[in-house]
Amino acid sequence: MTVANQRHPGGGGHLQRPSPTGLADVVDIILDKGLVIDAYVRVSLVGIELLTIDARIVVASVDTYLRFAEATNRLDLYEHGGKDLPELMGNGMREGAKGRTSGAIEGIKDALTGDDEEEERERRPVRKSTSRRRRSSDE
Amino acid sequence: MTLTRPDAAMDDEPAAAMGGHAHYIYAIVPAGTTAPGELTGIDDARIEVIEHGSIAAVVGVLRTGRVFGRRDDLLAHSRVNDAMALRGPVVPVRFGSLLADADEVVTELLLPNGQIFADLLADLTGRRQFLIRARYDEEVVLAEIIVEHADIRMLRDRTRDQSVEMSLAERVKLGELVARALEVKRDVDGAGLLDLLTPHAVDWSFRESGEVDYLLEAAFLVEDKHRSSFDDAAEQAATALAGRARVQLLGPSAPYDFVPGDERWVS
Repeated sequence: MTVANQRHPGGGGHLQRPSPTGLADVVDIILDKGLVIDAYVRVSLVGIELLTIDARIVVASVDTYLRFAEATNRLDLYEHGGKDLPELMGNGMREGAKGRTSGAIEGIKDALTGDDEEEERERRPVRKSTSRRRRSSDE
Repeated sequence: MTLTRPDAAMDDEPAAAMGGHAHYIYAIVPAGTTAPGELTGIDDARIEVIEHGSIAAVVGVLRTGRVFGRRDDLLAHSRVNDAMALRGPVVPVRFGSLLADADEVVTELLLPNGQIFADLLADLTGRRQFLIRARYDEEVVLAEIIVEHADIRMLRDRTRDQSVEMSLAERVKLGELVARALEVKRDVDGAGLLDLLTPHAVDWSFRESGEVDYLLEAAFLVEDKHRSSFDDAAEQAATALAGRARVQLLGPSAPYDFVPGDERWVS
């Protein structure tokens, strides 16, 4: 993640190109993706299905609001005079990545150990879902 | 059909007792595609390509009767798919798909679905997936919101030095207002990103998340011949958001987001 904070002067170079070698990235990219072979043919391995349940994000939950309020209150405005804040960006990114990683690993662990899936859902109100939009004119 | 049942062997006793093997399915590719010689899959198994007609399945032999879904299993699945994607069109198969043996790979998978797979592969030829992940600098964007909204500023001042218990209702209200303000920002900034990127892609698919710093995460299916223009657009998008958000470009990868998912389509 150190590369992430490097700024190259003179335009360009803002785009980050991480290699998706970490577990978090891979989980994010593949876990609920890919061709599903019919249930009759497929063997679902050890509860992996639990992780593929599509759930809408619940932004409208008290927990989420409290989290936003907390983040807002924590902020020291005097440190934000519109300056470049690469260290802060770095912190934010690490926190974000950590959250996702532990969530995913927990999910897999729960699936493998057969923990109650409802409980898992309650603990993590924020889940991913996928929606699609096609542009047919270019097909 | 005999299917292996790994759930019957979830104890700590590893394979010795069970000792079964199965064919793990990574992907569908056009017949004639070969796997890189050094490529290994789950359990470090050699990657085989089983052909039938114009299509083929990329498989590896997997030892059954052990805990599955570990870190290495996921990484291997993705490694094989992405390596094959560098060689041509690939239809990635959902993580965790197994058939009993090589015969079943043909009779259960390739034979009944030959046309569907051939069509999917034709559609994916010369196209690869890229993932764009844009995340706000949480502190910068929250600072913007505080400055732009008087009601948020006021609630923030009122609740800041109070305990959560004492100011719960106001905090919930504050969070709600911040969430809404963030949504408006996301709509604006996300639309800007899409305006830059979508002209260079044939298809795209959004991934959502409720994290504070989430701006946009979307997979794009990009024609090989438009790769550099897509790349330039991503560079431009990152520059436009510099200081407020970070934009990451991942790929090329197998087109995980552009193959049929849960739809029933196998005959």
